Order: sequence, then C-alpha cells, then structure tokens
Amino acid sequence: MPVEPGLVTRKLGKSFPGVRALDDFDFVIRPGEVHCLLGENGAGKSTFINILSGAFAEYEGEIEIDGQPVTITTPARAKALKIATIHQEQCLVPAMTVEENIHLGDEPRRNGFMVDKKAARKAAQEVLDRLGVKIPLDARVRNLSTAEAQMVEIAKALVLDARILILDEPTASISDRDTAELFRIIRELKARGTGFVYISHRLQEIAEIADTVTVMRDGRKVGELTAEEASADRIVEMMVGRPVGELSAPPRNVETDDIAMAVSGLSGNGVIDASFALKRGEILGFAGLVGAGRTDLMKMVFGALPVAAGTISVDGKDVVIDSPRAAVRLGIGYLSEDRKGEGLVLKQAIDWNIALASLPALSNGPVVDRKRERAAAEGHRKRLSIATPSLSKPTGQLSGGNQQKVVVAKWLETGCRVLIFDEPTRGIDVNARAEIHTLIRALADKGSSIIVVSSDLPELIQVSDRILAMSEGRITGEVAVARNARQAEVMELMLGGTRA
Amino acid sequence: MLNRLVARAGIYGILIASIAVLSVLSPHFLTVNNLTNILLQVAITTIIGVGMTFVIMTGGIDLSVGSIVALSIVVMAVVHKALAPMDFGIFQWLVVIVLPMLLALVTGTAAGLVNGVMVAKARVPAFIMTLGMMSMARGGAYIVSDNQTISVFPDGLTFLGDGRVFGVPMLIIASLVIVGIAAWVLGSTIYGRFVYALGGNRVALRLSGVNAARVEMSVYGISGLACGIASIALLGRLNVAQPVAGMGYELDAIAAVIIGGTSIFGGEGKVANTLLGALLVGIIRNGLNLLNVSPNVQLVVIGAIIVAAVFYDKLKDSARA
Repeated sequence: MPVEPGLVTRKLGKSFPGVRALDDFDFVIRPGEVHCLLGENGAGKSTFINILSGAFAEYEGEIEIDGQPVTITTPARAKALKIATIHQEQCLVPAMTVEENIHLGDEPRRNGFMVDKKAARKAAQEVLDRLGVKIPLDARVRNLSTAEAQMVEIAKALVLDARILILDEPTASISDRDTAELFRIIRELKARGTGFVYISHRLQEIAEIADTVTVMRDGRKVGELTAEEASADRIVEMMVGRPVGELSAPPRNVETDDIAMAVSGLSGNGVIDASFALKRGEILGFAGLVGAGRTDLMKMVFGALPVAAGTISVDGKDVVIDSPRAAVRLGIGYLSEDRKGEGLVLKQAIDWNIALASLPALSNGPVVDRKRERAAAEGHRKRLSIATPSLSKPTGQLSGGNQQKVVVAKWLETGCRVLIFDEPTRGIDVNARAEIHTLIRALADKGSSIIVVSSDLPELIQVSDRILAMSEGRITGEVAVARNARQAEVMELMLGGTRA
Repeated sequence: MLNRLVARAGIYGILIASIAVLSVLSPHFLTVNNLTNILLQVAITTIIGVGMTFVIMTGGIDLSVGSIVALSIVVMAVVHKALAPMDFGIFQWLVVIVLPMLLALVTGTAAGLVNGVMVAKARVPAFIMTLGMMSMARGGAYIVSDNQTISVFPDGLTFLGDGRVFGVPMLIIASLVIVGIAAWVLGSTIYGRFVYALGGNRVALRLSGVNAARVEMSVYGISGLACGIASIALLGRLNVAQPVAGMGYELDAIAAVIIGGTSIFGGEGKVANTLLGALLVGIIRNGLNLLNVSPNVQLVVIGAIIVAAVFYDKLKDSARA
C-alpha cells in the first residue's frame, strides 16, 4: 500500500457515558490542503479535534502521520507531532504581551533556564511579518481585537512549526474584512505545505476556502466531497439528512407609522449620535463590522452600559433607561451575543432559566410558585419547540439552538414587546438557525418589534425588513430589504461609505 | 472506581462511616450526653456557616466572621454592663437585656453590610475586603472592650446559649430553626433564586433586569447577621465576653460549607448540607478528643479535610464529564 502523506485516521472512535460521540471515523489531512469538517452541533466534530489535539487519554482506532502509526494521548504529544489547534475560545493569557504569548510554553532559552529575550523578539517579529499582520509585540493580548488575538494564536502555531492546523470556527466572531485576511493567510500557509482542518457553520466560506469537505452526522462520516461537488444545497442536505427546500422566507410588509421605540442622538461607549426608529411589528437589522458599535449601542438602549447623551422613547414617551432593570420594566428584552456567558445560568434547569426574569409574576409574595413556573415553561417549550426530555435538565446540556430558544422563552415570559437579538445564531447549526429565523419572524408577525444585530449578512437579509449599517460608531445608512437589498450594497455601508 | 464510590456516597455516607468508626473506637462516643455535646459544639459553627453558605453560594467568601462575632459580643457585653446598674423601671428588662442583644445583631449586620457595599459596589475582591474587615472588627473589639474580659451575665442574656426548653438546649433548637429558615429562603423564594443565579452567572442575572449588586451586598449582610446571632449564643455558652472571641471561626464555618458540598465557585449548594458539614467537623473533632489526639494534630486533620472536600468537589465534576 502506498504511503499517504499527511495525517490519516482509521476507524477512530470515542464513547462517553450514554453517547457514541465518534464512530468509525476515517479522515485525511493532506499537506497543503484545507479539509473542511461540517456537521450540526453534536455531530462529533469537537470530539474529533479533541482527539487530534490530545485532549483524551483514550480513544479507539488508529492515527498515522506520513505512514507512521502514532498515538496522541496528551496535548504535549500533539505539540510534538506538530499539530496545533486554534479553539473557538481563545487560549491566550490576556495579561501577557503578544510576544510572550507567542512563545508561551516554548520560550527560546539561554543557559538552559533563562529566556533568550533577543531571540524571542526576533522570532516573534519574524512570524508576524511572515503572516503579514501588524500587531505590536508589546501589546497586551487583552487589548487586542478578537481577530488580532486569533492572528497571535496562528503565529504561536507557526513558531511551533505546526504541520497541521485545526481551526474551530475561526470566523465565528470576526468581521468579513478580518475573514478575508484570515483566508489570505490560510492560502499562504497552504502553499508552504501546512494541512488544515477547518470547521465552520458558514457555507459560503467553505466554497471559498475548502479543497475537500467532509460532512458528519451523529458521530459518523456521511460523506466526503471535493470542492467542486460541494454545493451549498448538497452540503446542507447531507448535514440535515434530507433535501432542503427554499430556506428563505418571502418578504414581509410592515406598513405602519406606529413607532414602538425611537432612539435619538444616542452617544457613548464609542457610539456617536445614533438615531433610529423601530416600528411596531418590524424586524430591524443592524449590519456592521465587529467593533462598529452595534452591541454597545444595544447595550446602551438596554441600560447595560451608561449613556453619555441622547434620548430614548418607548411608545412615544420619553424614558430614562439607566439599568437593565429599567429596560425590562419598559418591556425591552436583550438576547446577548454571548448566550452562555451573559444569557443563561447553565448549571440550572431549563424552567428555572425561563422564569429568571419574571419571578415576581410567577410568585406568591416572596415565594416562587413552582406550579405556575412549570406551566409557563411548558407553554414555551411547546410554542418554541424546545427539544428536551425534561424541563428540569440543566440548560447547559442543551444544544446551542435550544439554549437560544430558552433565552427567547425567558424574554417572552416577561411579556416584553421590544426584543433585541444580538448575533442570534452564532454557533448554531444550519437547521436550528432556520428555526430561529422562522421564530423571529413569527414573533414580529404577532406584534413584537425586533432588532437583529448580526455579522452574518445573508442572515440579516434573510430575516430583516430593513437594515441599518453601522461603521465606526455611526449609523451610516439604511437599506429596505423587501425592495432592493443586495449584499454588496450593505457591505459598502458597513465599510464606512454613506448613501444618499 | 473508588472515585465513583466516594462521589456517589457523598456527605451522608462519610458522616455515617465516621460515626460507625468512632463508636467502635470509643465506647463514650455513642452516648446521649456526648451527642448532645457535639450538637452544642457545632451549633455556633452551624449558625455562622448558614450565613457563609449564602456568601459562598454567590462565589464570594467571608473571612471576617470570627472578628465580627468578637465585635458583636463585646458591644453587647459593654452596653449591658453600662446599663445594668441604672434603673429603667418597667423597661428594665427591655433596656438591659433586649437592647444589648439587638445591638449585637445590628453590629454584626452593619459590619457585614460594609463588606457587602465594598464588594458589590466598590468591586473590592471579597477575599481582600473581608480580610481587611477581619482585622478592623478585631481591632474594634479590643477598642470597645478596652482589652478587658467581661464576665457574668444574667439568665436572660445567656438564654440562647445556655437555656433549655423541655430539657432540650435552646441553642440546638435555634440552630436548627435557622437552618430551616435559610433552607426555605434559598430553596423557595425569589431572593433565593437570585442568590443561586448570582453565583451561577452574574451577568445573566443583571441582564435579566435584576439588581445583582444589591443581592450581592445582602449576602454579606446575612453573614454579618448570622455572626450577631452567634455572638449572643457564644456569650450565653461561656458566660464571658472577650475581644479574642471567635478566633478561627472562619475556618470552621468555611469548612462546614465546603464539606457540605457547596461549590466554592458559586451557584451550587444546599444549606442543609452545611449543617451536615458542621456535624462532620464536630464529630471528627469530638472523636479525636475522645481518642486523646492532641488539639495540634486536630488542626492538621481539619485543614486536610477541607482540602479533601474541595478535591472531592472537583472529582464529582470530572465524574460527571
């Protein structure tokens, strides 16, 4: 049998109590190739990359590198085999500098135990130059943007001379412009022979960057496609296990002058003079690059960040929103972009989380009425089709899409009429994403007024009635989706252009 | 294998096992007298531990409990001694007995609230704030008492610590009632939910429209109030108030909470288990006493048990994963 260069896995498997997370999995990472790995949440992608990065002491099956059998039972072993993983969550030390982070755990030495500072600096600068990125070596990582920090992680992998780079949803929280930059670097490294495993939920990216696509479902490989074969429909069909019809919904018509919420001249936290009006029953999209100030604007509207200037009115009345508490009382709900970090108490049960923002209404005096709480949660489970065997299950055990539904349920329970969705489908698989979109539109049809902030332009166009673009803290323009939204048009506004 | 077994048996198993071992080792262990004695000994730890449970549940810590007990006890004693010689007519009992007790509660709660304000509003880390309060309250106790030990108090003042109701020590009844109230507050009320949520995910609680800072502030107030109650009990039990009272109580209280399985990282725990944790510490201490193990060695054992309990907490987490 001819030796296949690169990394090959044969019959890789891994079980957890009650779950067969990975089963009979064959995968090849060839040098100079980007191999995309696709699958819904829970399909086994994470288990696979965790095996390759040495997270498990035990697994089934074999791994070969350049024809030589290897075992990867510790992270150190993965490092020695030149396999580097860039996880969704950053693995950098925020308080340390870029240079220190690049060398962390593998510092160039002098006399055996001292850090060779000159060599360290030179090597770090070299690798950043090679990547063509301009990040000061002495900057603290906590002051970097997500995209910059990601570059530092890639630099770190390069210093280790990684032959295989695993990227787990690298574009989940960076802007389109940074994504283009990332792709440029991936292509360069490819040309030098680095093999990539690339995980993403965004089908467009895959068309752009992949050489090979493997689709997983339920811990198994569904199939492997070449880039040419991998049309979006074909991929989605393989992921979901059934053909998909038209996912996009017809445009909605919001012909009303009834303003649910108006914001005028709002400034602070980098946002400058933001004004907009949200009509009743409307879905208003906010497009922009990461750092354009969309989240900060929404957090000011919700009272979670202080407002320097400007006014907000709800139902035509001027209001003061100086805390989330005040916003909730005015019927405004905010679904954070960071579902796990800011939206849910993961250890606690589903009904517990649904009730959290509405406890006084579900209680007799100070005592929580468990029956009413349970009944309310049960209603939301049915209406939003939250997939769970029991409402008593810890929320952390749900999939991303279902967790998002729990957050939606929490806000619906408060009876709020203005809902702000910040990156509603981040980290959510294709199927659940369509469900969330349908849900948002259904809510608007029932009279809720909705703001959707998203970095995913197709998503905004799919779900919004009207899109406002923000750039560098300012609202730069507006596009009515129903009539003429074209991606390029919105993109231009996001990049700072203004429209008449 | 052993990991799994220990993880499943939990605090109840360990408690029963230690009782079994000690009753074999010492014939005096399993007597009514000795068991009452243990309950009495752990009652004060339990009361302070209840307040500590609220704090640790939010992911915080209160190192100042021992010093707050000392400050409260000397305030109570000094005020009582100052007022006792005077004549207040029909209000005599109210002024000489009830007022000093109320002041003990107010002192404890106030000191706790200072912790709470600084932690919740000024964002001083709980560890540092309560470490500072540990020193401040202790110093306050020396100042208020003028370094003197104050002793001999009337029955009214010592009833909580020394009295009996139908033959049952009042202190045991009180500590169980306090555990019961706290369990109800944490388990059934809106406020209890907020305490769990604060420890589980502070930002999520705030973004749910709840004044999270106020909740955080309050748990330190509750811990202070528990110290105030404990100081009344302590005065009754010893019939003495001194500024060195309550030394090392933070160790016992934290041990009771942690051994009871409340997560040191917040968001998880039960106040009833704090009672069991306190009992376990008390039983082991009592057993070691009966076996003539020196107090110095006992300190080493208790310290090791706290570390083991947190280790066990981690073990449980990894068994779950």
